Amino acid sequence: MRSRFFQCILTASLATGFLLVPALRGEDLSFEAAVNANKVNLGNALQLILTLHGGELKDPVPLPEMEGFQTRYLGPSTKISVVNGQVSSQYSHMYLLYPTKTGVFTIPSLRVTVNGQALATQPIQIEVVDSAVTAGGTNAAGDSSAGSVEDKIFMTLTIPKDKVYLNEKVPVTIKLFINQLLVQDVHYPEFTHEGFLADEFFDHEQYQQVVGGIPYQVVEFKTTVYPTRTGELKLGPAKIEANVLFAVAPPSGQNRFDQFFGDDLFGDFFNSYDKHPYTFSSQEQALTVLLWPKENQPADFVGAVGQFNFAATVSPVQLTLGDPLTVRMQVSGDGNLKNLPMPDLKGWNQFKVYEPQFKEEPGKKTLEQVVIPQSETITEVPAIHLSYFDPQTETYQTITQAPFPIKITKSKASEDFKIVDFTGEGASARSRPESIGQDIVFIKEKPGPWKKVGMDFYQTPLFAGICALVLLWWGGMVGLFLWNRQLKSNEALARRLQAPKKARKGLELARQQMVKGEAKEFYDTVFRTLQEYLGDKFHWPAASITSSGAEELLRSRNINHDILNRVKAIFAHCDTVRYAGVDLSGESLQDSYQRLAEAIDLLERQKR
Amino acid sequence: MRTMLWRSFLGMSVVIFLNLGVSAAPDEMSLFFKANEAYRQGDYAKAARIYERILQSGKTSGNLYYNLGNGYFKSGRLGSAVLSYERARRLMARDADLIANEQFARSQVEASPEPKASFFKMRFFDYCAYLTTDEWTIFVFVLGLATVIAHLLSLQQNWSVRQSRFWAGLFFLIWISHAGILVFKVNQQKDQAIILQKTDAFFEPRIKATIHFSLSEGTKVKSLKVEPPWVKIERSDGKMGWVQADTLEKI
Repeated sequence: MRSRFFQCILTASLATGFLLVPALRGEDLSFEAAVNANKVNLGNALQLILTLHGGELKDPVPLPEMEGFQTRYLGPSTKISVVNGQVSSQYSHMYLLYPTKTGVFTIPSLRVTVNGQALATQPIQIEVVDSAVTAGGTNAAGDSSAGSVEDKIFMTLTIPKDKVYLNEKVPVTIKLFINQLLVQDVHYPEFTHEGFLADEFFDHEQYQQVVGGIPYQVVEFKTTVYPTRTGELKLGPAKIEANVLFAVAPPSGQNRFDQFFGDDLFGDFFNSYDKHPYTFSSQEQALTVLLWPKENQPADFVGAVGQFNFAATVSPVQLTLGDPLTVRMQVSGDGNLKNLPMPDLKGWNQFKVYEPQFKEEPGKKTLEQVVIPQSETITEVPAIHLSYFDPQTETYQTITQAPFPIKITKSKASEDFKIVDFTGEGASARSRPESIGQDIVFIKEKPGPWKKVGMDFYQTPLFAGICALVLLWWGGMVGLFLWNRQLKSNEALARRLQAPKKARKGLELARQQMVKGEAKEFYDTVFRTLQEYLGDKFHWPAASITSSGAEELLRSRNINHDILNRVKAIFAHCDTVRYAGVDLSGESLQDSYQRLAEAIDLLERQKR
Repeated sequence: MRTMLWRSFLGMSVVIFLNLGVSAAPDEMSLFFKANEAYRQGDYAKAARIYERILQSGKTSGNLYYNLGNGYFKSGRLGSAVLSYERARRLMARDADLIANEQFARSQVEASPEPKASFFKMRFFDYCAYLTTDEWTIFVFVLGLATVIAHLLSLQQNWSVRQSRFWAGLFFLIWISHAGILVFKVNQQKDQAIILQKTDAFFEPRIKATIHFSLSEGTKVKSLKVEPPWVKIERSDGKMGWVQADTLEKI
């Protein structure tokens, strides 16, 4: 039943194929280009469909560089139709064209070769107009001249002045101006700043700004840079990646509201939008980086530029010789605090100076320096100076924190040895939470179970073998269960299968009686063996099978005459010997045995 | 009949377990201990090289990948360390040391965007990741075997049709759902790769193309398409781009 079903399906498929192929081959080839509109607003995308009729065009047609457009391939579509027995096929490839400026542009003739035949589309003229001009006759700036995406979205990178000093803080403002177009997924800007150190960008701001009479949405990013070398340097160009949303109108004829109300009333509602990635760039900014003036440069000036406040404290002011004291300095203000060189304690020969610890917070930088006075004769901690260059006044400034008087007493003998708290925060350090180190856990000592590289268990022949074994076992056991069930429910089958086995046993018994010369018992056995064999084989009551009964049975089962006659002869011979009491020789017994064996063998070979 | 069922099952089990023996690998063992010694002495690069030699011989183990990951980490090759830990996870999914080391290695590289997934999806992923592929294979095999035995018992015990359908159906449902998880896991793992060094993903497979996004070393990505020497990849947040083939390696 199932095979007939599949045959029908196969025949139907082949028939359809044979019917279609000549029809398709006979169709004329043509290649055409179509757009969903010949006039499009800047900011709307255009659909271009290239269609081949009557042939096969699986690969997309590469579009050449087209002035006024960027392109993107959308995908293919295939259509085969049968109308009144006429089969037609068409392969289409769809593209999106994104206008990049206003004007009249031409989609050139596109060529393909199909089945050795060169085909070409007709050129198509597209007018790209500014939506603002379309709506109001002129754009907001009163300028109806050609525009472009770059006119509607542009970037600026600005710095407040073009001459700065080395290491001076320079604020950088990057703005993305957007007019009329929709923009999404605006990334943080990246800008070239060779010769500068740059901070991270602050949070961006969004607001409206009118430029040249045109209102723009502005996305503003701010950061600061610090020149690290002198000379003529350049900042930028800055680049921002973003997706511009182009409205994609449905194919013409589908949007009837457009025809009735005009294109903008319901246009946006029915349009879908397509994201196209753009990278916008700003102009670069040149600036001159000057070295600090040599005049009046303090001896301890090491490159701090900006406007700073400086404070310093020393604690404790009374201490025992050998005890540490902490010098704390804090610088706040406007400048490159991150790389600000803090005043060093060179020349503090009477103190043992340890590594300083720095701490930075927004707008201020703190240093803690632990020192240990080496003599009880020291009466003050020396003055500390911070010198910096103020770029606004173009003068050097030095802030001095006056010497700090201290009193040192000589240590007692019992206190010669003591633990020095290098942080200078003895009491607080003990209450500070324990610092836990972090690292990876050590290697494993043993390799563990090995396996082949790139070979999972399910890919191994072993697993396939195990699965096959289980399936075979399952199939075998199910077969065995079903077979036993079948034998239990089908007595005829069970008897037929048992018949040759029982016959073999009967023949063996007869052979033994033949050897012993027990003729009567031998013929009883031969008779009974044949009777039971026929009864089992044909599912018939064995007791009813005699010479005549056997003939009737075998005829009904279409057993051929030769076998039938042999069976009849055996039964007749057995009856003669058993009831007439004829004493037969060993040769006769051998002959009867042979005939019985042959008859059973022939019956086994007979088809049921 | 019952005796036959159990005897045949016992025979089949003996055949299976005789074939499950793990082959000894004396050369690999001595190399492994040699590499461990180099690691102990602080020669991490040498240790990593010896572990790599074992891998070149075609043999591997979860602990070998773990130690190799440690060697890479200590040598400053964070991307390769994360790759080795990921490979080790496929062989010993629940090893606490491995999980700790992988997390620590990942904390040392730039954070990559987290995939957006629902609560149930995350639980499902956790469930898939709880066992290795080999463990899942054995688990699904055992479930399949239980289904087969349930079916044979139903035949042998002459269960009613209703009872047979219930148990066979229950076992089959459990088996087929877990087999589905195994297939999902295998497919999910197939194209995963690790970024070995910080790189940029481009919109197009060429050097001068626009940069789409950056990838830090150790980031797990999905390899979608290969156009030598470029590979199209997908980041966990769904962003796609083209990177140079030598900047990543399949897990």
